[in-house]
Amino acid sequence: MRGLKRGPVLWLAGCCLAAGSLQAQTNDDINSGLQFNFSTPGARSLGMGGAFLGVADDATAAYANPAGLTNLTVGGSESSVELRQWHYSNVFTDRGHVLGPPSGIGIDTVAGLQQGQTDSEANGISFLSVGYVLPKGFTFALYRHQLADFKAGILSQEAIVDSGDRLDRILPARSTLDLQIVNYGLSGAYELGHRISLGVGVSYYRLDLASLTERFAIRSRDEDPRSSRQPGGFYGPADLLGDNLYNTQTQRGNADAWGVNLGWLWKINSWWSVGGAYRRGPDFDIQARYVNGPKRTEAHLPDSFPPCTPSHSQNCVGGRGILHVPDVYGVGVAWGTAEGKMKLTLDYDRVQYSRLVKDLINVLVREQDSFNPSNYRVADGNEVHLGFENILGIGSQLVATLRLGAWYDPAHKVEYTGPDDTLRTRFRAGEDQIHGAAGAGVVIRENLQIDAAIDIASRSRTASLSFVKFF
Amino acid sequence: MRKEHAILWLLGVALGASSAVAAEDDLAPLLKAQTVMISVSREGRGPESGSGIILCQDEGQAYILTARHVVFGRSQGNIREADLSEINRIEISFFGNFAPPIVESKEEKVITKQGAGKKKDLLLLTVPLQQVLPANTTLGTAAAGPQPENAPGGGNAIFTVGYEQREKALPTSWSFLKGSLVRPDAEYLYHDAAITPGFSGGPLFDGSGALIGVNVEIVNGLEIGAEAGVKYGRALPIGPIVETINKWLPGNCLRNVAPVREVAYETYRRAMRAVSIKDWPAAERLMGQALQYLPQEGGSVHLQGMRYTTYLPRYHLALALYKQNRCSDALREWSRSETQRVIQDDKRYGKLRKFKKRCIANLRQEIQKAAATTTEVK
Repeated sequence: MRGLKRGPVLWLAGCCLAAGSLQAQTNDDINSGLQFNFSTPGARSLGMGGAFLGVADDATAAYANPAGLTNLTVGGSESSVELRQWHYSNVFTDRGHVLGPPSGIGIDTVAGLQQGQTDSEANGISFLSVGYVLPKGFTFALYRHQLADFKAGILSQEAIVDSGDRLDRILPARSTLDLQIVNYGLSGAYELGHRISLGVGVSYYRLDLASLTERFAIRSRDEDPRSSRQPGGFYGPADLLGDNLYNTQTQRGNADAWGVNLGWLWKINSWWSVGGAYRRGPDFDIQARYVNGPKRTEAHLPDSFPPCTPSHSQNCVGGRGILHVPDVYGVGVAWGTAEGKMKLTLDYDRVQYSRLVKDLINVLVREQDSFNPSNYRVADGNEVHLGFENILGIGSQLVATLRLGAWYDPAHKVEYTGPDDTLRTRFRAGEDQIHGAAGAGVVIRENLQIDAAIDIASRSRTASLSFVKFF
Repeated sequence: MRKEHAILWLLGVALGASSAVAAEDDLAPLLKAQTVMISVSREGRGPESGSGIILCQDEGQAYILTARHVVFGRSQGNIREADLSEINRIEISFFGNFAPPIVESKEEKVITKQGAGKKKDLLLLTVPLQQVLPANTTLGTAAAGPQPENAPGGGNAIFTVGYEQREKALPTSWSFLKGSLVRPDAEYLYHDAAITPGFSGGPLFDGSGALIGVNVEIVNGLEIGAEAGVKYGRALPIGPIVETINKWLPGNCLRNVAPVREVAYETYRRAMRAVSIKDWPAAERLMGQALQYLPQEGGSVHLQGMRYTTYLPRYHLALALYKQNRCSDALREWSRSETQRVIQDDKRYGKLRKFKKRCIANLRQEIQKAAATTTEVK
């Protein structure tokens, strides 16, 4: 409350993170195959393709564009709860013969890389907020946002890579990952005049990350052809028994962090408005660890390797790293009819995915001596969101709305661009996606708003149901 | 040629007068050109004159707004309002002789008269007119409550134009007067310009020359809580007038003006913001302003996002008064709101009844205190 005495701006608050995707910052394959979507909260926003920066006219603005909270001064305070279900398809390198013809022995019968796919699902309360209007035109919102709630498991038989002078089989791997990020935010806004509002927010983030990757041994290609077709053989199926465990990589993160966000909104006239936001992603400390398995018994190998740090990334495996969540900045424009019956919105977001490979740490013994972080790259993404909202019936006792949206989601998987063909196979660039969204909502007796929406892309599907209570 | 020059000059003035507050000398001829004199002869009475305002022209017709009593006379005591058969002659004269007078006799009816009943002192006259007049009316609204001089519309400054009924006055003698609003409220605008009976039905403009009302009466200061013996002009605010007559006007007649309902709703939105942030004086002022545009409660107003609300300016005006401890004013406005019945189907009706009870209790306490004080003094 000391901030209150210093001036309202100091205690206006909010929170933040971004729409986009996140990747734990090690070169563990499990990270490469997973995708996390961070979209703006609220079923209304989801139904409009996430194009919300230029509108930001409900309590979810606390996260998307805090300046939009000043809209509450017209309608009054409100609280909201949102339930979401996420469905992801995780694509990963699974099997096949890369860079050459298959030998036809055992499993080596498939030409080209075959990617595997697993589906994962999560659901729960994704957003809770209370937006409150104070005298003199200040507004603030408290909220809880589930930034990530993800459980995944993949099992790869692994491919054979023909580098010309060397035939290499990627070790079969079994991976699981559990990621939770929750943020608690406080955002505030004030209208300066001339229909221009500014907003600011702070967020406390909590990360819970746990992943486990087990790699299983493959016997030498030199053994007799009959044995090599058996489980654990070079041309045989994977042997996933415990005594064949070759090595294990783990990632752990139980960390707190802070983030900030800023926003502005200019309602040019009754029809047009423009807005922008900057969301600073938090940085989390994480620990990665490499352990030799019982099967790895080569005499010359040490039991453990020196751990890496952000400043020391050579001749090491595992260690302490920093997970940088991407920063996002964007602008949006919205056009609507004077009585709010129809809205068209367009947002552009720049997502700094390149932060994902900043301070990357190595968890692969293969890279122990040759690890070069610059070989791993991911480009910043340019997202474009388009939304449409049309109110079908107007009566203050019952308002019904239909929404449509679409957005361009650029590829943002970590890609290996170095000389190692095997790693190039394991870390492949992702694909761009186009999301389509639709939603509907009703407001009953100026009291309760219920919205539902769905967002569908080739490898993800999000469904949302939200309730807003007006005061 | 002289007439054409005058028209061109007025057009120039009209273009130049687009700033928020135009110079008085520039406005006077422009506003006079929008005003007509209406002279009426009725059976059993001598000729009487009043004024009117040209709202617009469309397809060879002019639409003129005036007060009903200018044509039909007033009902007072045993004297009843005249009916059409008792009107012998109506003559409408234009400023500067830009067009020949329109004359209607018993034998030749050329003027269409549309009114909203005897209780509303309002009449729309549609007359055939081929000449194009040099000025079009711009609608405005009077601000409720005191306004700074530099406020849009010129603060409290007003202008009014009318036919001054004086002895030996020329039949086309238009008088241009300046004054200020003294008490605008939702039903009437009161001003201190020294109008005479010939200004009846004539226009009341704000400081920028936008039409804000129609003069209907001259009242004694006592009636509005001002000094007795001082005369004030009473005018109908333009918002409710346009709500009434808009259905009789061609679609493009008032195209230079945002629809009154839209303006009323926008004002109401701003007023609701004031309610939300508990700025009660602003809420009072803006609700009063919304009422000037659209006094009838009901209909949905978009607030923000998916939020719509019922248009209840009188209920909220009362709430603002209540929050400023002006219970008697609040009770009056709540009663008016209840009379319109929209509030009775609204979720806020429970609050209204609760606030009314508190107000009545407060007033009782005040009366009891006052009575006790009086007894002590005795």
